[in-house]
Amino acid sequence: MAKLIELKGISKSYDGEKVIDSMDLYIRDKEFITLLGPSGCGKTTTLRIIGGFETADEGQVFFDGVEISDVPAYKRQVNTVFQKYALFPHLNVYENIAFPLRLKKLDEEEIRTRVTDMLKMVALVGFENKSVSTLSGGQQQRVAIARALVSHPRVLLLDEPLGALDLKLRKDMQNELKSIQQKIGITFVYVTHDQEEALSMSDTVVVIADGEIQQIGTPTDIYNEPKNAFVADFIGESNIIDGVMLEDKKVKIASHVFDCVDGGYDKNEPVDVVIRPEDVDVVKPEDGMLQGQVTAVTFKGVHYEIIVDIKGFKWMIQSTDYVAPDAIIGIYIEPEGIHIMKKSKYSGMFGDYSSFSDEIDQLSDADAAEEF
Amino acid sequence: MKYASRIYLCLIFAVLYIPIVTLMLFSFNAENSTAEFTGFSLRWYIELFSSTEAFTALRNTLVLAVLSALLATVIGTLAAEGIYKMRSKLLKSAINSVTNIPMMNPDIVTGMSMMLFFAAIMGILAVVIPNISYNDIGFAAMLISHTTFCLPYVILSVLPRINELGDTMSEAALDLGCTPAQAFFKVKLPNIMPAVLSGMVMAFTLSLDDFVISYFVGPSNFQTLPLLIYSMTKKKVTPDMYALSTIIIVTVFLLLVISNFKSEKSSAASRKKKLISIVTISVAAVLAIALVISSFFIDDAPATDGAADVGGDVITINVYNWGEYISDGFDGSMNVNEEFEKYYFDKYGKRVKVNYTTYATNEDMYSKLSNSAVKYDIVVPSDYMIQKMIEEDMLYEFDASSLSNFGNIMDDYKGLYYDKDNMYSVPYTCGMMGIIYNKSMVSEEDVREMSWSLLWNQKYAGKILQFNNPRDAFATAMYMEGLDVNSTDPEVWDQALDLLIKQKPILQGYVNDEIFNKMTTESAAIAPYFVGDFLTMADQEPNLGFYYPKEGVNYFVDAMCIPKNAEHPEVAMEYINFMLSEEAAIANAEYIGYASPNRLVVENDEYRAYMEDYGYEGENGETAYDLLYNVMPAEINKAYNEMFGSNDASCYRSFSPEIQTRVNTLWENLKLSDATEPWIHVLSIGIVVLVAAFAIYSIYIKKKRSRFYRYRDRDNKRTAVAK
Amino acid sequence: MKVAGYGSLGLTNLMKNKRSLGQSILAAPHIFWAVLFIILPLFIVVYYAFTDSNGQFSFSNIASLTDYAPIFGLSLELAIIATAICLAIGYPLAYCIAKAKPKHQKIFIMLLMLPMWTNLLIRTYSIMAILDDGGFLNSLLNTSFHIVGTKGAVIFGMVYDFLPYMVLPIYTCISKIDRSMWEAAADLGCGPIGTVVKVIFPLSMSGIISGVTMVLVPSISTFYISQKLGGGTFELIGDTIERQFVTGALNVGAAISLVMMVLILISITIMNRFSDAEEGGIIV
Repeated sequence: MAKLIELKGISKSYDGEKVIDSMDLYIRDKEFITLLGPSGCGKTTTLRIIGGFETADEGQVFFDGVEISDVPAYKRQVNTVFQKYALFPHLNVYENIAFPLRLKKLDEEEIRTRVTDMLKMVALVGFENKSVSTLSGGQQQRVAIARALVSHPRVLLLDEPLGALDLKLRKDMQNELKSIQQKIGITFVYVTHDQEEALSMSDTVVVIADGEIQQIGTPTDIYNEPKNAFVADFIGESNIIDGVMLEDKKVKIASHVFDCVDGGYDKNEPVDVVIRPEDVDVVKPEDGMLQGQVTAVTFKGVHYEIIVDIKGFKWMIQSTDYVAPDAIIGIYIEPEGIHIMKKSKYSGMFGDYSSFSDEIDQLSDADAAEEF
Repeated sequence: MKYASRIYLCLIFAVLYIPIVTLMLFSFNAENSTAEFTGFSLRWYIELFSSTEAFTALRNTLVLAVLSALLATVIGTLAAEGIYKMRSKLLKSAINSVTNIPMMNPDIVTGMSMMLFFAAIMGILAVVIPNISYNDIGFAAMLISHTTFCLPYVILSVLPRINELGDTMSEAALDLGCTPAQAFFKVKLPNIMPAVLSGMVMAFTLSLDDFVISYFVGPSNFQTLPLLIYSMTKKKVTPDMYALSTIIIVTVFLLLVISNFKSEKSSAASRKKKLISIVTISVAAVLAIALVISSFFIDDAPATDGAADVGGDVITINVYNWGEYISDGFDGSMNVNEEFEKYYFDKYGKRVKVNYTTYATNEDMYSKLSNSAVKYDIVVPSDYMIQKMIEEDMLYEFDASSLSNFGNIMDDYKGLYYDKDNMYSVPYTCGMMGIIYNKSMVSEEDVREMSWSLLWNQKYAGKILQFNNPRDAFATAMYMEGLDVNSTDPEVWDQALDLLIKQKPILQGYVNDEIFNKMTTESAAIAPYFVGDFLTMADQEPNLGFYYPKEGVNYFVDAMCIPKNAEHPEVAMEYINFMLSEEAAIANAEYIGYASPNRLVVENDEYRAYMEDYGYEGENGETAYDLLYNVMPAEINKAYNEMFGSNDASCYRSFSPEIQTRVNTLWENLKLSDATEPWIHVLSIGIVVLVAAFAIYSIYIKKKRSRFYRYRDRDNKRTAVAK
Repeated sequence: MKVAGYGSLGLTNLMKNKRSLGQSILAAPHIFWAVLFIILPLFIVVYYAFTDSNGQFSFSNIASLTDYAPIFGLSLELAIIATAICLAIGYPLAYCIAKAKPKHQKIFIMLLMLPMWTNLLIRTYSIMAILDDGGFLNSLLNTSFHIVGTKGAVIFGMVYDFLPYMVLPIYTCISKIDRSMWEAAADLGCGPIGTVVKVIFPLSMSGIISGVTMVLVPSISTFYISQKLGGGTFELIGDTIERQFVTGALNVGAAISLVMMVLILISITIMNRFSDAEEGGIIV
């Protein structure tokens, strides 16, 4: 697939604070790409630069090989679904969707067909005459999508479009968005801070933190092969432990040497080791590669979440078997379950379950997102 | 784009501020002019700070604004909360509509309705409390009126905020153990405070600026600043009002700048809070400063010094006089009212306080006196008004010859037609009407004719002014044509009207005190006016000349009278007697510039020298003194008077009600005649058509576009029903 | 306060109702005030309008109003022109202010309000000093434009004095429009001008309506500006009422006031209807 949008060396600061730091990114045609990151990481700014609502301080934006850095928003072939939908309150549902078509001065018949098609697609037939303010959040969301798609843009930008919806509706809309994207076959650039949303919908996920791209890859790559501690922590649950690479496929963690599948590191190089909670098996203490004491057990429905203190480091383990708190248990990890990463600036900041920092982080994320 | 908007903003604000800067400039004018800047001086600031009247008015304005803003805020905030809590939508919208009436109604209608309302209240009160005067309820009436028109603004400001806030917060407060009252004061009120304060500031500003409603409702003993200024416009607006405006605007500007500057420095979170407190503080500061200054200046006057000492034993006499019609102590002149207070204390050992207020026309004074049952001790009506008031039994009868100083009045001014036996009045000033012309703009031969017809001379089209009151304007035409200015024959008036209609196209305008500015800046060339005022103008613009038209002129006598319901007629008589004394009379004559009927004045050498020194010299070298005293009305009007067989036919008589109505109607016709200009019709109709077309077009487009989905909607409903 | 008596009674529905009822009492002083000082005076105006000077019932005042139709017409025409000019000048002004930096916005609004602290009469005198035949403008340009005394000058005076009333509501309305509305319009293909015409203008309709009302009403009824800047050569309806008041012809004055009030209230109601229909009840 060809590169449709390309950002080259984009930088942007607000009041002297750098929000995006020389970012390079390309987006292929017809793909569903997600910009994922905590709030304030620069993902929305990136999107707004693509949309033409902001101009980058440095760098260029290309669309289909043509530089569009200075092209104003209304001349770009991209459309946006805004965070709070930005529907026009003075127009009803039909007129909101017809708005871009009327600007193109299409004839009434054409407008009617295309608006009706869009209404069918978002399942809002019969709502034409309704005032947008009387619609529910989900319905407004659909109108916004229909309005953005009706003029057949090459790219649809979505800025946290599901942020204001409740959980159930959000799940439904995720599926719907994905199927719309597949049906009409255009590029979706999706911004979210919800990693689950990103993983379940996207073809490509771009993880952004501190105005820099941390990793680009398919959802599986991102999950299984995180590049650094930030990505590992931000995507799913992970135990990130200091280790030392003794040689290829041999890593020492907590004075136990594990077999693993990664290589290509210097001898005795300190590394970050990622172990997903579901990759850890609970065994009898004497059979375990490491032993530790259970400090907390939480029932999560499908499994138990067990926090184990192993030599002062709190591991999270997901197990279908119940273990009693305070019990001494052993753990066993398959070599495939161990993922080695180079040390980065994020090392040591994440991956310890000794506190609830993770959840608190997420809470504050949500708050921040609302403020935006 | 950004550039364009910046230029646009600058342009608009420039236009907005040019008049403001101009008025600031004139506040520093050396001369008594609001149109011609002659030099820089602080004279008007000094005058302002020595003027009790201005400061009393300022204090009244502020007191009224603060009280009505507070009252409106309290009632309005409670009302907003109450309306919010109301269940019935019907009741809610009914209350909202009623609340909005004073906002939607033109001020003049609100003023009119309030005036009629309080007149009715007075009618009721007069039954219960005999002797009540409008002044007794005047302040309450003003407060009620101001509060009423401020209320909607407070509610409009507070109600949306309460709606926005919703119930959750007060419910949380109740949940945490607050009583409803506590919930309101501790939780809700702090949260709606910004809206409450902005409503209050709005109310304050509106009350401060209000002129129309105060004009209709205001009592004579409570003059606000706008009323004071308006009353001046009938005589002459002096630059001290500009000085006051400058002080107010600069103070407000500085406070706003300070509050802006400070709030910028603080963090975003506390900014709002700070801003509120600063706004409150600044408003309070303006008030405090103003009140301190005003009370300082007012209390500094010796009159109230005494009042403070003796407490309740002070007799207050209410003197109601024309504006700028008494020597007030400015520039080393004598403060006649203060001197009287001293004189009275010395003579009787009793404190008396002169409460001095002003009016602009005889009719203003008359309507105040007759509509609102105001109790004045002294009024100074003109001749014809005295006649009318005597006929209507409004004046107190006293024998003027019993006053020890009455002999000072020259015989010519005794026993005039309106008061043949001098039982009601004592002449104060007199003046004659004439024509003022600009020597460089009007040719000599036209002047030499000495005729009223100069006012009808086509040569000077667009440069001629005419009186903006029916009586004087009609008179100019009637003297010219030898018609009786006091005719009871409607046809005579119609004849005069024809002349005025003929004159209208060549007029620059019908004016009151604008004449001062227009003549001194050479905006106009010819105007009829009174000799005393001409001397003031001539002092500024030496190019002006004056003559008494040969056909006959009006002369008037303003005389001191005591209204029937005066509370202290004896003191009032004492006051009149004092005004006849040499010192007081000379001081007044020099200050006012009109002719004095007092022999001691006319024969006083110093006074004569003063008037001869006046900045005027006639064509034949005559002085201001000559203009005032050496041309007697009797000589000029000889021919005219003979025509009507009376020796004072040229003096105005009061109209009979029929003629009054007739004259009003004719005056109206005059104003209406030829008032249409096609472009006005074209433009306004064009605008209406445009708006209507826009409205119809947008409705049409909407209908056309929605044709499709409207049917769709109906179809949907139908299928839904079928299901 | 009366409501305090209800104390901490909890949050059951019953109590809630009771409390609501109790707290609507807060509006009582206002209702009392409104009935006594708003409605009653209006009835007195009606009474005066339908009686003669002796207090006898009479239609003559209302009947005599036909004489004033031309004055009504002229007042209305001048007011319409002044309002249209205010809108034409004020809308871009409000727009520019709303688009300025927040810090500057505050200053602009302050500057806009500041002249209102100067007395209207003084401002008018100042305008006269500038525009008069021998005034500043003419002596500066060395021309002899005759401005004061024309209807144009009256319109200028109205625009000058009432412009803030037009700008403030529109500014408030525009500044409340979310940034995303601008962006959405641009995103969907609207150029800068198209955005203003198709999105911002309709969204600020409520501000325009209230601005138009706030300028139109005082313009129709003004009696000072026309006297001074109009040179007194013609009369507006405000002048007529004032003259009736001064000459004591209160009944005719009341009749004119009544008719003017009714006309204005009707037109405001129509305008509000129109704006409601336009906005589909969005603006609460």
